[in-house]
Amino acid sequence: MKQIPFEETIELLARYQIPVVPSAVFNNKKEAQDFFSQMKQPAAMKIDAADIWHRTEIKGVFLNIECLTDFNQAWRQLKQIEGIRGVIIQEMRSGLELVLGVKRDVQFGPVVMFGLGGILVEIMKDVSLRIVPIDLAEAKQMISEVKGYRLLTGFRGQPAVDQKKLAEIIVNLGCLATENPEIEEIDLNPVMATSRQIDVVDAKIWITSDEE
Amino acid sequence: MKNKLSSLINPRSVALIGATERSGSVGSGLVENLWSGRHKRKLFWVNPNLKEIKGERTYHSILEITEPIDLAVVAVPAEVVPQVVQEAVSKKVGSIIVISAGFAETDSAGRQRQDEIVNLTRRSGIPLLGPNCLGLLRPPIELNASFAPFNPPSGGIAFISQSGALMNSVIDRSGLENYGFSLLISYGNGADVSLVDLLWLADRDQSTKVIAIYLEGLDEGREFMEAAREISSRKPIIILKAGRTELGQRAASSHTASLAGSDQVYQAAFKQSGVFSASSLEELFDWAKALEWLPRIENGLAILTNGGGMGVLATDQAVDQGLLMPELSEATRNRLQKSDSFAEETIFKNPLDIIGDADTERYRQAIETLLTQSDVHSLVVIQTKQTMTNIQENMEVIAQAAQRWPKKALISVCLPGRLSQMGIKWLEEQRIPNYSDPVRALRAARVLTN
Repeated sequence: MKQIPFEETIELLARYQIPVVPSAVFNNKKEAQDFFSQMKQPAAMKIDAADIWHRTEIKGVFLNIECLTDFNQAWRQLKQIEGIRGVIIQEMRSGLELVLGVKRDVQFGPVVMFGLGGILVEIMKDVSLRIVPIDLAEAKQMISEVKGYRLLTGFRGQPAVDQKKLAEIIVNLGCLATENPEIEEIDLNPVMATSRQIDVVDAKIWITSDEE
Repeated sequence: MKNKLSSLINPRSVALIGATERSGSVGSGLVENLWSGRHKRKLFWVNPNLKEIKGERTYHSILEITEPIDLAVVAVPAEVVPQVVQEAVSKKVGSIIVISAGFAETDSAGRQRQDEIVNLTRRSGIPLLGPNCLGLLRPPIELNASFAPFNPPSGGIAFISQSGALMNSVIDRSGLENYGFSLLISYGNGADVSLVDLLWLADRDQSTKVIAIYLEGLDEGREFMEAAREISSRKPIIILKAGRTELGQRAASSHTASLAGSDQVYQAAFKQSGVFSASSLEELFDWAKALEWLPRIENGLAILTNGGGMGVLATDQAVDQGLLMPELSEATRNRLQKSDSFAEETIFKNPLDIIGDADTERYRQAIETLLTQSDVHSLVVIQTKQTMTNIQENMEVIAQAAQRWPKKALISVCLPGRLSQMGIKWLEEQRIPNYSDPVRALRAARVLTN
């Protein structure tokens, strides 16, 4: 299994109408600076490297970059990390953290996963699964099955998530997995949701590698 | 595969290869069980070392038999199986059951041996059940091609099990229960005839009303989902899936050589194909009898009890199961209040507690009034044994109500004891399920509303 570059990842997602926060990948510092100074700040800067599961674990994520000094420092540190393919520069997003994913099961083929993000997904394993393809009704049912569902409905001042839009994204993710059989796994984590928009903030796609 | 399986479940002639009367052996178990259906079909014993069994001649080889054979049952040591299967293929039998163990569930030599026999039978288009299985039983036509301990009662449940030993216990247990079976099939390693084939078989079988399955793993996830989705719209399917944990999965893979995927994915597959997922053997048959005997209903439940505690337990479980408990309508309350059967302190609500001194007349009035309310689709009747509780008579009242309201589901809760077990048996003979615990009853009520 190998991880495809971030640029290809977001292109593929865009082709299936899965919205990704505005992002670009750079190797040239000057170009990156130009992009940074014209974008909606603050920015997030992250490493793009092959075969990493968590960018944060290799100190490959810098958030809330608001000035060139911060930008330069982040750039220098990211460039020192072994195996770097490029520097991802993104707009920052806030909202409710969600996760979406796909895994290819030996018996059933691609399976889509939806869950609440952050600590909830890791500790509580609060996720629901469906074998694809699924329709919009099934995707909505799937969303309502997570234990923390009330968090999506505007619980105590949290934003109410646009569930129809979320369901559409899940259906599209299922199509993406079905139509691209070389994909072994997709990890969209986090996905940030507010009442107005849902954006994939980080995305990783693994495909079958030739050696296997 | 579909039509070829008719020789498997409806054989006019059966040859048992490895027949013996040596007590305690698999072969002798098969002899006894097949013998019990000897009036229904021709039997042939094959064993080169014996002259006769049950006073009938034995054959050296299946090839020695001149008449056609629909079903060959093989119970010989694994090393001899390929040769015996080759002979059965030459004999052009309709189908083959290989009971013997020592195949893909053991080692690579076993796997090779399994591939060898499947190659032989597939080339000739002969379906093969097993290897490493208990066999097949079809009580309505007195077919018992298994080494099960006795003939289980006939009924509407088809039980398909990846494990043979577990099926034996289920058969043993059925002697104390009041449900029966249309089919019992243990498919072991499922080398040729698969769970999906057996699902279609149970679907076509007229006596099968409910399909209950013990499963460790599948080799054909997508096909299974397609079949289950279609069949479950006609006949309910309940699965007890083992290997929920990683350790359990490892145990399963050495048991029946199945490659188990993630349990969460299986649960998703069941949900998406309309399959009920039971969490224990007890629950598998709790649900099977409810689904066989009772109508499928809309959500709307009333609880009637003569003991407060049981009513509370039942109500908690109803809420957990997402069952709606409608308020008693004004008409219902008026009818109950007008009756002089109820104690003064009775509170007319759902759950309805008619108090420990409830006699049969009080039960009758309460049952009939609750069932008259249109949004009550199922009724759980709880009896705790008090001095005034006449269990048998109360059961008769429940059965009468079930006849009068055939589209509603009546479920009884009564702990089997010295004073109540006769009444419970009688009720279940009328095809109304009883459960010893309100939790079990309410979980069964839930599957009826799906």
